[in-house]
Amino acid sequence: MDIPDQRRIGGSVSADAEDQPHLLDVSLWSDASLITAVRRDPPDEAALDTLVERYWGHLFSRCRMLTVDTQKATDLAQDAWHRVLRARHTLKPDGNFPAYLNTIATNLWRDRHRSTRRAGSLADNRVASLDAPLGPDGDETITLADVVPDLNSMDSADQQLLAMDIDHALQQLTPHLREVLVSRFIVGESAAEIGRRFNRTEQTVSGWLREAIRIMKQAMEEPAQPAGPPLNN
Amino acid sequence: MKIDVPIEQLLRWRLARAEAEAPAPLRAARLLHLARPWWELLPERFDHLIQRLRTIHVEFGHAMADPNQSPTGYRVATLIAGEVENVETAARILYLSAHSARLRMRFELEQRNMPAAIEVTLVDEQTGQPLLCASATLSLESEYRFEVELPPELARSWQRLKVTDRMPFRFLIRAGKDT
Repeated sequence: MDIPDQRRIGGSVSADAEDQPHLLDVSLWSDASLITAVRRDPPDEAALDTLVERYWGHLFSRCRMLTVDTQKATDLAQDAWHRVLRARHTLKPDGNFPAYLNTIATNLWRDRHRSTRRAGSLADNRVASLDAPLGPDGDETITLADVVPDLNSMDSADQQLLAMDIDHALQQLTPHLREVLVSRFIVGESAAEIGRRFNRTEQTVSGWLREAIRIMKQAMEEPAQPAGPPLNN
Repeated sequence: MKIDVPIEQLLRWRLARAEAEAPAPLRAARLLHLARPWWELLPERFDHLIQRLRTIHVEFGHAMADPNQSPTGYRVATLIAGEVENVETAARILYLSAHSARLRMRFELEQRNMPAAIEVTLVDEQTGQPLLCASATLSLESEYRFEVELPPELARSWQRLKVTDRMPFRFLIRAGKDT
């Protein structure tokens, strides 16, 4: 059965179907219906299974980008679910559930690395030096050899190598810089939006981003001269 | 051949690859079990610890009594649940903020030689009921810090709570394998 996206993710099932949910495959329920079922006491396990499966890959991949480690990403994603379930009565059926889930995971990640960030290499007194231009026109590209413009058209071995190179580059970043990079390029937040979240200025966040890009470029363009040992994953 | 690839394209490509390689998620029953707080998983242990915690009496010194002192808060009765023995002690609240439904706290334990990461359960001072649980980490200044989401009822009742107030909770701290 072909279900439109707006119905599958965050959309709403028809009123008739809502009234008679047993007539429908639970996997076709909207997020709102699933969340309502999960809020009940006891929670509907089939609804929870569906909700978890619907967003597990999305959540895991975000956690994987933050942790650069499959096991840690799995643990972080599960911890995010534990957190959500502990507060399941407060879930808002009409809210943006996947965004909420990602926020929980990111907050957990940030909490775990708060002390690292506090004592890390990006204390505010270093921000001024980070404001210096990285390169011409704020270059946000990485020059790579032996790749083609469509990365998915590379053979599987080359894709594997590229994935390892990206992971290696991400590992050179502090957890804080990795989070900022993900917020900017994956979530699509502006430097100003990120700054509000960290209670920092847009200029400061731009400095963080320049530093993150510089480290990524160094790690990927000059693999023989890595930026340094992996920082706190 | 060398080409310039936008970093956003690289990251999104890696993200998609990670999603495709995601391991299978846990089943709902398992998630629900693991999501239960430790006091529900170990009710007898919790009851035993609570009885001990409620017997602890600490002297409360008001934060602002001496203007020459740093503005630290009340001492909070604390029980450290160890694998071998339980230790009665106290914690001094150094910072507390309960705004925006998040509790941010710094505190200092009088008991020394504690691990860098501990689990803190806040227990209602009056009822002995568990309120919330958080992971706290030791800072370079030998202070524990944590930040945790507040349940709605606590978010409402604690939003005016200040570090200089008498704390409406006690600490039950676990540090060890069973955390």
